[in-house]
Amino acid sequence: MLKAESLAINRYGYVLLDDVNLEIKKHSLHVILGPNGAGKSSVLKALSGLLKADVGKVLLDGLDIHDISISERSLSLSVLLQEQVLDFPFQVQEVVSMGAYLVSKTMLPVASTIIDAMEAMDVMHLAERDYTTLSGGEKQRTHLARLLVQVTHNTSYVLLDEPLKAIDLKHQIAAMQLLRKMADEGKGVLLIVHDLSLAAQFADTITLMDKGHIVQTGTPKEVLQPAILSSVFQTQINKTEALGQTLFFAQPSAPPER
Amino acid sequence: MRNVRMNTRFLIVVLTLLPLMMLLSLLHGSAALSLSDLWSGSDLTRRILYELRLPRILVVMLCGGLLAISGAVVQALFRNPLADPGLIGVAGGAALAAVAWQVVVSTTLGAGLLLSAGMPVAAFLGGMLVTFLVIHIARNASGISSLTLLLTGIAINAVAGAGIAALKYVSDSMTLRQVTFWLMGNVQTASWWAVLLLLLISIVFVPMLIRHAAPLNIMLLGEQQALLLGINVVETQRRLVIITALIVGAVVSMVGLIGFVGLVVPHLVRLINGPDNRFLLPMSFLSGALLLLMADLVARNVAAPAELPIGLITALIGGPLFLFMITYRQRGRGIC
Repeated sequence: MLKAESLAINRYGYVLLDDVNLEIKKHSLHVILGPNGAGKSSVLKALSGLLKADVGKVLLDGLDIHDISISERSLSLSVLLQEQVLDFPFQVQEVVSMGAYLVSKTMLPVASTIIDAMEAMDVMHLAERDYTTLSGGEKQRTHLARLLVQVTHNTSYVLLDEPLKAIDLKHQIAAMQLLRKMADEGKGVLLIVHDLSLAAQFADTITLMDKGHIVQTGTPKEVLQPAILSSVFQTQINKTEALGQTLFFAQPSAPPER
Repeated sequence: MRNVRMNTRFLIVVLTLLPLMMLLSLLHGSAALSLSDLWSGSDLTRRILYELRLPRILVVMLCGGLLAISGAVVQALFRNPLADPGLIGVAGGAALAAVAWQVVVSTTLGAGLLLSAGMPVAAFLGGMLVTFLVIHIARNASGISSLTLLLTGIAINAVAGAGIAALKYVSDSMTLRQVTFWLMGNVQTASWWAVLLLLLISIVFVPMLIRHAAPLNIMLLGEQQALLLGINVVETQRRLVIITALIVGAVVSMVGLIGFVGLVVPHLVRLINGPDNRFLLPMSFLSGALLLLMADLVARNVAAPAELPIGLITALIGGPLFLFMITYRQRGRGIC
């Protein structure tokens, strides 16, 4: 279990997190929702050991994450951050293969997992393209494939910060199905998204955050209630059912003028 | 990771050109020699060959290689293809420290072993101090900002330039002359001792740098992402900063400031073979050796029997190339 125990983090005079308790279980897909600045990315960074808590701690299978060496951590935790800063003209396949950095040092055959990952994220046809010339969505899919390589070779837990950003609908669904499959196969998956309907469709557990603390954690049915959502997101959010799916949409506060 | 993308033709061209250029360099200069002089020359020609030209050629090649590979490493460390030990102030800091040492020691204690032995140490310390300073200033939450990096370099170079000018002002005319020539890149006084020291540095540190090529690749993804992929980023950075400062300090103390090699060579190699450091680092070393050897050949022959400082040639070639690189980058981003 990957567990945050009463985390509190202050940085630059701001409260980033306040009394955050969270459990990422194996065999489960956990989604964090919340408005901008709610502290979602801070939770993810704290859980991945990048951000050290002022109060509380993060336990990875019972051990304090800061007591685990950096390489050990990367062998049980795969993380995709929100911002990608790569600015060198690597080929797409080279970027994807970076996911196997630690395992490749032990000389395991990794070529097939790299190809599988590129096919899963539909970037196989871009394998030899210069990464810096890709579109935003293609870059994001490349990094997802890189993460997939890392996940294949290790990892009990997978943390992703807005993995769907800039990705078109076809590939969003493909990515979500893949994450769902990972969870079903035993990984603990934590995911930050903004699409409430996708969260309703795929999540086992949802945590709703606001202003650095947790508003509620529960099943999608418990958490995704229009009243709670509307108050947290400070805009009218409606729920509807169609084709067996639960859909959420925000209602404009005043009718738009035509 | 996947097998290294490698352009064998490039490797073969460089490896063929290197001995050819060495031979050409041995034979051409203010005194033209013929091939047969290599084994059956007079005492004078033998002295020219083995006490003047050969050590000089080797110093030039080793310095070129070391500067180029340090440039490539610094660019990866700062995640910026425009970073260069010269541009970000490392070489300037090293030069300032070395000049300070030379002026202060030669005016107080006079020339001697202390003077020549202390210079590389001073240059190394100056270079390392500046590198840590630059990293400290240019780092923010998400890594190292290229804008702050270059601005820091400008500021440090200005301070180093002013410091060197001030030191020149107070130094006697003999030291002034030495310092001035040395700063423009001086390889005329290359000795076998210099060859030995540079060779030692190359044998020890070049393989160390190359061993860090794979983690350096990963670090291009960003410091946090590299950490998440299992790399001890802070430790790796610290180690590489110390090694490159050592190398740059040693080179600067031997031959003065030779600009643009660390910038242009890795860039050319990247153009030919992509940014994979596992190829880039060794290839930069070889190509840097070749390029500086060719620059030295030009410097010695273009106005023979007079010689131009080698730093002048690299700046004349490197400056315009650098401008081209900047505009090329800008155009690629749709700014121009």
